[in-house]
Amino acid sequence: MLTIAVPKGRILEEANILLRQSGIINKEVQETRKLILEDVDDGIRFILAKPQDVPTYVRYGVADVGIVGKDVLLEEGEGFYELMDLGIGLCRLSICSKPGKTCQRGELPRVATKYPKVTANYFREKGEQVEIIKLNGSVELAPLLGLSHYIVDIVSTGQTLEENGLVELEVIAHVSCRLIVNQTMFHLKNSVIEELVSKLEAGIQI
Amino acid sequence: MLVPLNFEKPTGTRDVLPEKLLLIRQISAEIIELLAKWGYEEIETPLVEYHQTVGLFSKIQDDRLIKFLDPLGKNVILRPDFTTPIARLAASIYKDIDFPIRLMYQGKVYRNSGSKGIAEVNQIGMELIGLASLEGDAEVITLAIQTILKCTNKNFKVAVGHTKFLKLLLKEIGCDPSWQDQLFQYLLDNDYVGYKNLVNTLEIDESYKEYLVKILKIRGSFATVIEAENWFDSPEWRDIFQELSQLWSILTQYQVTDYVSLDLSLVGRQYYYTGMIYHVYCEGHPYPICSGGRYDNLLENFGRDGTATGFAVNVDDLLGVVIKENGQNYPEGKTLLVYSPDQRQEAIRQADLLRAQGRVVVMAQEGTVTEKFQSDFDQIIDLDN
Repeated sequence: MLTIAVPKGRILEEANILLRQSGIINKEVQETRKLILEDVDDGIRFILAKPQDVPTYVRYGVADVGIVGKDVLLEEGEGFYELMDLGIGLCRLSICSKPGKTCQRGELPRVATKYPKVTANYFREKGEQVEIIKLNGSVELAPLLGLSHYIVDIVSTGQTLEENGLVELEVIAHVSCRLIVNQTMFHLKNSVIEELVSKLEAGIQI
Repeated sequence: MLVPLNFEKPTGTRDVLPEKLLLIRQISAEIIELLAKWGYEEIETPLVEYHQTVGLFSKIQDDRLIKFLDPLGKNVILRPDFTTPIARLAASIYKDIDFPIRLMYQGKVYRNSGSKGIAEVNQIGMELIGLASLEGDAEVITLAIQTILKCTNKNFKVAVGHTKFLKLLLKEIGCDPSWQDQLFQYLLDNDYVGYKNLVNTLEIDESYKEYLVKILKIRGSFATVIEAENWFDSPEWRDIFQELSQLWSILTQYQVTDYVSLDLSLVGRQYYYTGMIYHVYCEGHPYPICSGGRYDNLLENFGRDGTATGFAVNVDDLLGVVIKENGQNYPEGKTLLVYSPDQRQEAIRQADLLRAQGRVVVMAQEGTVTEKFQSDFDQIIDLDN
């Protein structure tokens, strides 16, 4: 029995396609109110989790493996193996703002984001000190309402930015979903994990 | 800052209640007894050390040390491990004692866990100092395995890597040394994706890229890792496989290879570890339950040339995989002896007799204990009846 933690929402659709193409599941994982799904035929159990919690379940070993975006891993991640790039959930983590000069010289720039750690590290490496404002969603609101000069957030098509009159300034990281594996699981059930990886590697090619 | 409430203790620390403590003591005693039979002698070092010495030489990073000033104004730390204080000891008080020196320890170490507070870790471990040969590595790995076997019958595996392997591979390939630290860091972080992405950008022969990626999958018995032996033909390359082969054959003689998996992608912090390193992974515990390795440069910091290898196990983690009944608090039974004030002399006499027979005896003046209190005893003697 293998327990896989998958994120609810947008990524689940793409994950379903990949898992089916790879021959790991026969029927799709449905997002319902039920949070644990047993697929006895395939010997796999799925945990439907909030994306930010997937690393936690894998780190503590209540899930053997997990599927999660690199954006989440950059913010939350250590204590497991990051084994493979699944090539799904493609997007980028970017700095955006209203067009034109937004921050006066000498003013401490304010950055609103769901990713405070990534944001802090990025600006630190650039040699800039900023004030970070943690938000939990609809981050685009912050510059529109004058709460922050910049935002750091996920951009995929850029449509949300456009509709809100924001522009993408810099890409911090290119993001895709990763397969992460619990450390003990990786070493004790290495052949099971390697088999899963080769199935997924084949599935990605399709 | 919130004012601590009366029941609170510093974040990260724990109280240990009798049943659990008894189990910890029993397991610890068994491990200490095992190591003692191999000639390891138990020592204790101070809870507080100088930042300037032990703090700087420890493998624990500076921001993970708990630091403060001692009454003389010197920077001190709570000991973050036992390995470094023991290196200090081996180079000072033990400086006239001939190698090899075998020492073991049990006690708490303290680390700064940031927002998670003070990590208080209960460790048992051992150090084999001044035995440079693979015999030393094999002894330590065997003892780590026997330690886990003492405590559990769950499935476990020791992943054994060689610190020099990746460094040598990069040298053979002619990889620009500037990439070395980054590649090491990816493997230390178990970030195989980052590692593979970086390998792909390197300006090296395609077949060399394959080697660098292949090491991520080569793990198992010596028969598995030997696949990489013919990649290069330099004396250093042959030496490293000679070492792995010899280690494997000694472990075979110790009859522990069923638990061992050689792992070419396993690296340790490269400026600390100098040879074999290992992590023990046990079913039921999400990360390594025991770790160790060879650090031949540590002693020299304290002024004595000497090699060293050893392992440490986190006793609290070990409890999680122990398959044992909870510790028996009172193997011979527990008696409540109830007496009135004028019977005290008789009560003391009887209690002493019972205690001599191995029973636990608690004395209570009549009418001073509740029925619920009495229910904890398997025998109640009331001198009035």
